[in-house]
Amino acid sequence: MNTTSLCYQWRHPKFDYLEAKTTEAACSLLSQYKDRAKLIAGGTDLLVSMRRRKVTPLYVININVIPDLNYINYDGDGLRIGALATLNSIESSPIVRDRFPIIADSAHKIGTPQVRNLGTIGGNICNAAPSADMAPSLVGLGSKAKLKGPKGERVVALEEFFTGPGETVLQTGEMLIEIQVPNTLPHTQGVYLKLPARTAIDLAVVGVAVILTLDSEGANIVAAKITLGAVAPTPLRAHQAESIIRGKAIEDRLIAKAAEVAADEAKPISDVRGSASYRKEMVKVLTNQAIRQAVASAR
Amino acid sequence: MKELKVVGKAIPRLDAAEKVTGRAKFGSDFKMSGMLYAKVLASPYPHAKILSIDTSKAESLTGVRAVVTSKDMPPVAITPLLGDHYMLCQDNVVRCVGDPVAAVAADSIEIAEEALELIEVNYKELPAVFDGEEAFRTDPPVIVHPDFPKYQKAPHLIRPDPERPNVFQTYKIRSGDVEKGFQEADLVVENRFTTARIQHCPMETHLAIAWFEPDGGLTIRSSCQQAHEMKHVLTRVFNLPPSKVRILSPYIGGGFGGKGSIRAEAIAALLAQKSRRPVRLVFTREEMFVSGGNRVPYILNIKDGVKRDGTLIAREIMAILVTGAYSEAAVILVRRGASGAVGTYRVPNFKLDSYGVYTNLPVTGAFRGFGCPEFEWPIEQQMDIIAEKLGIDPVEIRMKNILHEGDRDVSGMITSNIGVEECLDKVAEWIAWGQKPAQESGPWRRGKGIAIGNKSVMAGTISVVIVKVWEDGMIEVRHSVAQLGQGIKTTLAQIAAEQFGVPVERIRVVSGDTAFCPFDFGTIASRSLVHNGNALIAACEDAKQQLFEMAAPKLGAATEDLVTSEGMIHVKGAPERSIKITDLFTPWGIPLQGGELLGRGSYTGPIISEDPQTGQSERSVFDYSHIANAVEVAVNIETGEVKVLRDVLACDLGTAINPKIVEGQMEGAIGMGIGSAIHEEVILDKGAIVNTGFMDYHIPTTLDVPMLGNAKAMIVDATDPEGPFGAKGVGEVALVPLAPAIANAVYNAVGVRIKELPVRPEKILNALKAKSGIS
Repeated sequence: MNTTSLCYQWRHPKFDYLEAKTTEAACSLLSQYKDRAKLIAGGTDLLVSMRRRKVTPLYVININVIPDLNYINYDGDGLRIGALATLNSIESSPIVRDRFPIIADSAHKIGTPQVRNLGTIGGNICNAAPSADMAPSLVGLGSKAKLKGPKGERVVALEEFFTGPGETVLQTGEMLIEIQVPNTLPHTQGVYLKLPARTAIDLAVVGVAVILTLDSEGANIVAAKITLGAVAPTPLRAHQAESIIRGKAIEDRLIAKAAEVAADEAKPISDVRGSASYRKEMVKVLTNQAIRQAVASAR
Repeated sequence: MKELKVVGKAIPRLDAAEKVTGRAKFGSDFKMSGMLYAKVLASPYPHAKILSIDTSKAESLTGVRAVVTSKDMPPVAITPLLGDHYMLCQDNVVRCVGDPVAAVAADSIEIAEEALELIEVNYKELPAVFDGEEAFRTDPPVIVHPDFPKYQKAPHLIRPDPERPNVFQTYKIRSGDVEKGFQEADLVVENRFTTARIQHCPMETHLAIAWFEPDGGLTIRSSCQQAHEMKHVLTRVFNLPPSKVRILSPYIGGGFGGKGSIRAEAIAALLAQKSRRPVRLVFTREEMFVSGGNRVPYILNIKDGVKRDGTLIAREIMAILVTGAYSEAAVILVRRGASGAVGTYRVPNFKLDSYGVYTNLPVTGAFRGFGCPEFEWPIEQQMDIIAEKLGIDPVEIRMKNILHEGDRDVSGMITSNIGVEECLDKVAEWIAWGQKPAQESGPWRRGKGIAIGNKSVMAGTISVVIVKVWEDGMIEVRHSVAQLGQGIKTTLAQIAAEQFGVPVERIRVVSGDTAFCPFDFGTIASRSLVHNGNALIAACEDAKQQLFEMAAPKLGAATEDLVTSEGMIHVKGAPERSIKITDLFTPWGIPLQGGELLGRGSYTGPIISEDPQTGQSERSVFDYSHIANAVEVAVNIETGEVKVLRDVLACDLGTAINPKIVEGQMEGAIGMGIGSAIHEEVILDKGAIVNTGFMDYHIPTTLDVPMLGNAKAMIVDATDPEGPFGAKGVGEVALVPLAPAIANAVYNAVGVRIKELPVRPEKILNALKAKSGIS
């Protein structure tokens, strides 16, 4: 047996630094270097993963210098967030706070101010961590991801974007350029709840985003989206739980049932942050709480 | 006692401005010309034989200046009391993950890191033992140190257990007859508790910059809290005369017990010797967790016998200290840590056995509290368990059993200066004990908890202080207490100012250089203020006597009739017959009598050796500081989360030389205590630490700690006539009762008792389920 190193002593792996000044240039470099290249924006996930040798790209392509990818725009169709928009700019954007408070809140619940000043929405999504805090609410809101590649642009549902931990539908040469969030119906409210082990600066042990649309009387749930984070290889829609409350009158019994079913739908693993059984239990608790809070604010 | 002018005042810390403006120098602020950067290659295996090491590729990497392995190392242990630990793994056997195998010094840290990967080590894995109770057996699956009988041992200090090959140290206390006590008891309660392996998490990691002087002497700039002890050990290891080893320690970014051991220093020195260049070795945070030393986890069994009225009649405690692969501070911890079980309660029949056991787990060492938080964890929960069974209030059962002035404690020392009763009263009043906490709606349940405890100042150690009187009248205090954030600079300045009757601005405090500052045993065991304060008072008296001898002929008075204040020496009762201290010097700055004016003072805490069979001694510790803690928590019955809402500490520390500094120590301990109670745990998988950083090792943030009006530190006057101005030590005691008080509050809130630290949400939830019979 021969070993030369130990995980905690790994140095930063060596790489070549490249800069892309346009999305075309970035896609072209990605096409050229394929699996050997990674894009870097805020670097808050990538550099940590590289240090731990979870990813070891030979080429790191800086896209921060692309001028037109850092924006938050709102029009009649909804919200468009450029991939380079920082988590801090999302959290503090008046239009996001006004129209999509759940998105602002999800961004606010990530890491520290320092991390949010650097980290971008594109990075949080493309890193595809099961615990990514932006994913559950964006998936629940029916967001789309606009991708750009050598063959041009395409738009995919964010729910279909994730394929596994750290894995996405991005093809060779493709990059995420925009997140599109459709306008919500009237009487719609969303709540993202996150259970960290500590009050602040922590990864999600469990995250639950609930987005409800009530009828104008506030008596019935017209539409329900329940999305779970950190309890499956990808952000997970709890479709069965949704169907229990969708189209029904608001009732404690049904909310409790939906929470239980959501826990059944979760497929968590056990790790240093919590056991699988604790995580399932917490899906139940958080789903129940999130539905109630969403109902209360939508009324 | 005359009225004090400076002592007892909450003056601002003398180092505050330079620290908050970033001008204060810490170890890693220093760079030297030609300095190299070092990295250590550590074992990835918990137990393995090194079949071969090939460093040739690393050595030929451009920029690498030296590579060392155990063949370069002097064959002298870095642990003088029990020679089981060398700077690099000895005999080609690694005994834990993180055991240093080789080290590199290079022109940059990047080159050093790259060189580590070029060192080829061929290991043969050996079976390992991780479980403390398995390692403790008379027939353990693995003997961690087969050559233990041959190791050098300090006579009378090391008492292994011949039956148990992994036990390197034992300690016993015997008082009365516990069996008889249990027979006479109306109720016997026995429980098993465990404490967690945690890290100190100082802001500044271990570091050393080492170089050899032109005369062959070794100088090391180090972040260390026992500089003179380190100097002594390195003198032996490098076979140098004591006058040629010098340890410099500037400001230290936190110690908490973790900086008493040699971590970076010896390896940096070895590399400096080989490369003939200054070498800088700074631990990363990951290295702090793995190789920087953790608190020793305890397995504790406690059995109590009580009368129906709650009077303790017998107590039996067995503690296994699940030490890492090397004994280090646990050699002392096995013995002195037991004082936590001694200094609080009156128990007529008492038996304690404490064992230090080797495992193949990463290195462990001293941690703030040194055994007292570990013993109070079971004892203070046990008191609540008994109280509930007998229908007695937790405060009342403690009041009934605490030691009083003049009582002989279970190790034979007469109790003195104890103020714990008043401490308990104060915290109970502050938290409105007996009043049920206001309940919220929803899943949160509130509860209150209480705990008391003690921490002793160690006996039989020495501190020396030198006072220089400058020609401008400035009084300079030279001492060797490590400045690790506890405020010793200010505290000593206040004492010197009081002694000379001058404002604190006329005092300069100098430390951090073993070549020019006098001996101190170490900044450990809450001993610094008591010992150095007494030595400082003696040094001031010595300097004043010399001044008086110079002034006496000029004033036409006897020296015993002279006093000093405001930079003047004058005749008692006749202030007009005076002379300025500065006028005792010539215009060229020489004292008129010639030479420098240096006062010297030393203090040794008294000690009486204990009987090895019974642990009995009339003076095994210097004294005890006592503390009481009351907390209010909220527990979420759906998620198991715990929030500490309010927290109050009261300590009988006697005179607070600077009350603000004392409060700072105590409030800091609240944060650290909450961390160790509900968050912190180093998690191991097959001998390797899984959470080696702050992403998964959670220390509390400001949001996890009660602030402002919700945290309170109180000082109870129980002055120790042997302490300087009646002061006792406070550095550690504040941490002692936090964890059991929080566990007791959790029980009070939701009726589940967690006996394994930390009190994590999942444990609470599982206990709640078990209680309601769900699973």
